[in-house]
Amino acid sequence: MSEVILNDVSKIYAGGVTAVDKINLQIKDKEFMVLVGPSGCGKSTTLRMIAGLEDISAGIAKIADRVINDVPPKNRDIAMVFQNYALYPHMSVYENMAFGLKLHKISKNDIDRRVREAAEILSMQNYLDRKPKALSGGQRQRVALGRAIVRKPSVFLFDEPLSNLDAKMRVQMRTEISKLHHRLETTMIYVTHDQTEAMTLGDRICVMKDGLIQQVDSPLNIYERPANVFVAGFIGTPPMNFIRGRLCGHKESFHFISDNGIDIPLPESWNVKLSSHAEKAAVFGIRPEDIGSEHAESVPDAPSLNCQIEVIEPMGSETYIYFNLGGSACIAKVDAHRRIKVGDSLKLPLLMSKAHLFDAETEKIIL
Amino acid sequence: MIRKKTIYENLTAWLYLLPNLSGFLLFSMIPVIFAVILSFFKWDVFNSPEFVGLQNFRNLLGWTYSDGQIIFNDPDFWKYLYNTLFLMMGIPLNMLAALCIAMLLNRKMKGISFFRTVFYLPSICAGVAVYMLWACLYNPEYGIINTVLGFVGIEGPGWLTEYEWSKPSLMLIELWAAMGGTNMLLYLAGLQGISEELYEAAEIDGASGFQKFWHITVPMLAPTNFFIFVMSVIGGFQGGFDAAFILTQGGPAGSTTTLSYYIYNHAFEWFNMGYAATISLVLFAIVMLVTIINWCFGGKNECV
Ligand SMILES: Nc1ncnc2c1ncn2[C@@H]1O[C@H](COP(=O)(O)OP(=O)(O)OP(=O)(O)O)[C@@H](O)[C@H]1O
Ligand SMILES: [Mg+2]
Repeated sequence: MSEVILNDVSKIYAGGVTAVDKINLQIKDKEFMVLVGPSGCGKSTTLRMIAGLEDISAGIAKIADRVINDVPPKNRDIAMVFQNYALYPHMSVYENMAFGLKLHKISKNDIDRRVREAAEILSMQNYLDRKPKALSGGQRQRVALGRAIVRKPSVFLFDEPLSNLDAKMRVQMRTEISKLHHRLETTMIYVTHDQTEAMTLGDRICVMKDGLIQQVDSPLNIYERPANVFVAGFIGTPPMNFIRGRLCGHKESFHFISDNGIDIPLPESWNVKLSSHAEKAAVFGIRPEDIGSEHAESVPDAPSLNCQIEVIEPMGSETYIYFNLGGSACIAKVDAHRRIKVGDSLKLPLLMSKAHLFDAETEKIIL
Repeated sequence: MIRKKTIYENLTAWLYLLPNLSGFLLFSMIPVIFAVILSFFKWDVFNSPEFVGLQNFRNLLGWTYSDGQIIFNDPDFWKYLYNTLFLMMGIPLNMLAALCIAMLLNRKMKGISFFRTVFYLPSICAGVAVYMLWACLYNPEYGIINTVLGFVGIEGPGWLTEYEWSKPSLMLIELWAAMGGTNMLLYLAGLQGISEELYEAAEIDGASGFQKFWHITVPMLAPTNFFIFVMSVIGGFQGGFDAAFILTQGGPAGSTTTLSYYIYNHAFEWFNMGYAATISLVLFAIVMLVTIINWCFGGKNECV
C-alpha cells in the first residue's frame, strides 16, 4: 500500500510567493497520476514537497498512511527522475544506478543483480561502462529511470523527464514509461506541462493553475467534461473553440447568441440545466473535431456556422481549417480529402451533443 | 589584386598584435634568450662578460666523489632546493583551507557578499604590508602571538629567528594568504558550477551531508583541484622571495632561502650574473618537468 495523500498542503516561499495553495489530492496505490498545468502553476513545487526537497509550509502530506512532513527524503521510500537527468557525471552508468543502493548498504551481489535487471528492462546492457557524457539524451534519461527503478521505491516521482528530448524520442520514451508502470505496478506521480503526455500516460490527471487544483479525473472525463474554461482550453490540441455571448430564451427553447450576433439554437435536452442561467453571459465551447465532421453532418437539423477559410493545414489524417467568427479565431478539424481552398465560404454543422456551455462569470461549466 | 589584399590584412593583424608583442619580446622573450646566453658566461656587470662554456652548470650541479662521500660543488643550491620543496609541503593544507572557506562562503544566507568581500580583502592588500603585519605578530618580545602564549605560561620562540621555527612560520603566513585568496575564488566558482539537482538526486538516493561532499563535491571539483595544484606547484618553485626579502633575509642560517632568493642574491648582491642565469635555467627546467609530470598523471581525469 503506497497511497499518497495531500491534505490542505500549501507552499509559501521565502519572499511571500504562494506557489501552492491548500491543495487536496489523493493518489491511490499503483496509480499513475499526472500533474499538468502551465508554467509556474506549482506542479514542480508540489512534487518536490512530496519528495522532501521543499518544506511543506502548511497542511499534511502522507505516504502509505505515514505523515511525511518531517521525514527526510531518503526515508520516504521514493525515487525521483529529474528534467535534466541529474546523472553523476563522474560515475559510469553502472555506478550511477548502484550509488543509491551502495548508500543503503545493500550487498554487492544484490546491487549487481538489480542493476543488470534494470539495464535489461531499459535495454542499456551495453552501455553500463560508459560515462553519461558519452550518451544521447534518450539514453541518459534511461539511466535516470534505471537509477530510480533499482531502488524499488514505493513511489516514483517524475519532473518533466521528457522535455529535453526531441519529439520522436519523447514519444518513444513515453510509451516506455507507460510500459514500465504496467510492469512495476508502483505509484507514479508525473509532472508535465505537455497535455499530450498527460492524456496518454495518466490513469488520472490533475490539472493545476496558479497553485490551485482545477480538476482531477481520468483523461477521457477531463476531455469530455472539463470543469471550467481553463481546463477545457488547456487539454486537447488544437484547443477548444470558445465563443463569448449570452444565453437567450426561456423554458422551452434556449439560444446562444454570440456577442457578434451568431445564433446557435441549443438542444432541448439542455433546458432543465439552462433555466437558472437564462439571460446571463455565457461562453460556448466546442472542440475542433466537432465542427464540420462527418458525424456532425449526419445529424439532422444541426446548427451550423458560416465561415470563410483563412488558413488550411493538412495534417495527413485530417485537415485543420482556421477561420474567424466575428473576432474570435476558430479551428475546425475536417476530412483530409475535402476539396477546399483558402477563401472558400463554408457552412459547418456543429455536433451539439459534444458542445459545452460555461458560465461567463465563474467560468465553471454549465453543460 | 588578391595578393595585395592579403598583405594588407596581414599588416593590419600585425599592427593589432604589435603593442602586446613588443611588450612580450622586450620584457619576456629577449631576457629569456639573454639569460640562456648569459649562463655560458661569467659576468660581474662591471667588466665585460667572459665565455666559460659549461663551467657554470658544472659549478651548480656537479659533484666530486672522495672517501665514499659525495661532495657537491654547490651544496647551498641543494639546501635551498630542499627549503623550496619543504615550503611547498604546505600546498595541500592551503588548498584544503581555501576549499573550506569557499564552502562556507557558498551558503545561501543573508549578507554573504559581505563575508565574501572580507575574506578576499587580504588579497587586495599589498604584499609588503601584509608581511610587515606578520612581522609584528611574530615579534618575539611584543608580538601578539607570544604575548598571548605568555598569558598561559608558554614562552613563545623567536618565530622568524629560530632555525626550527622559521619555515613553519612562513608556511603559516602562506596558509593565511592562500585561504582567502584567488584559490578560494576559484573553488567558489567551481562550487557554483555544480548543479543543485545533483545534490538533490544524491539526497533522494540517501546520501548524508558528508557523503554528498565526498561523492559529489570532491569529484566535481577535480578539474579545479588539478588547476590549483599545478599553479600552486609552479608558484611554489618560484616562491619565497617576498617573505625572505622582507622578513628574514633568507635566515636564520639560510633556513628560509629559496631558489628565487638565491638567484636574487647571486645576481644583485654578489653580481654573479652568469651563475644567477644558470640557476634560473635549472629552475625553469625543474618547473617544466614537474608540470609535464602533473599533466601526464592528472590531466586526463577531468570530467563533466
Ligand atoms: N525557490 C523559490 N523561491 C521563490 N519562488 C519560487 C521558488 N521556486 C518556485 N517559485 C515560484 O513558485 C511558483 C511555482 O513554481 P513551480 O516551479 O512549482 O512551477 P511549475 O509549475 O513547475 O512550472 P514549470 O512548468 O515552469 O516548471 C512560480 O511562480 C515560481 O516563480
Ligand atoms: Mg517545473
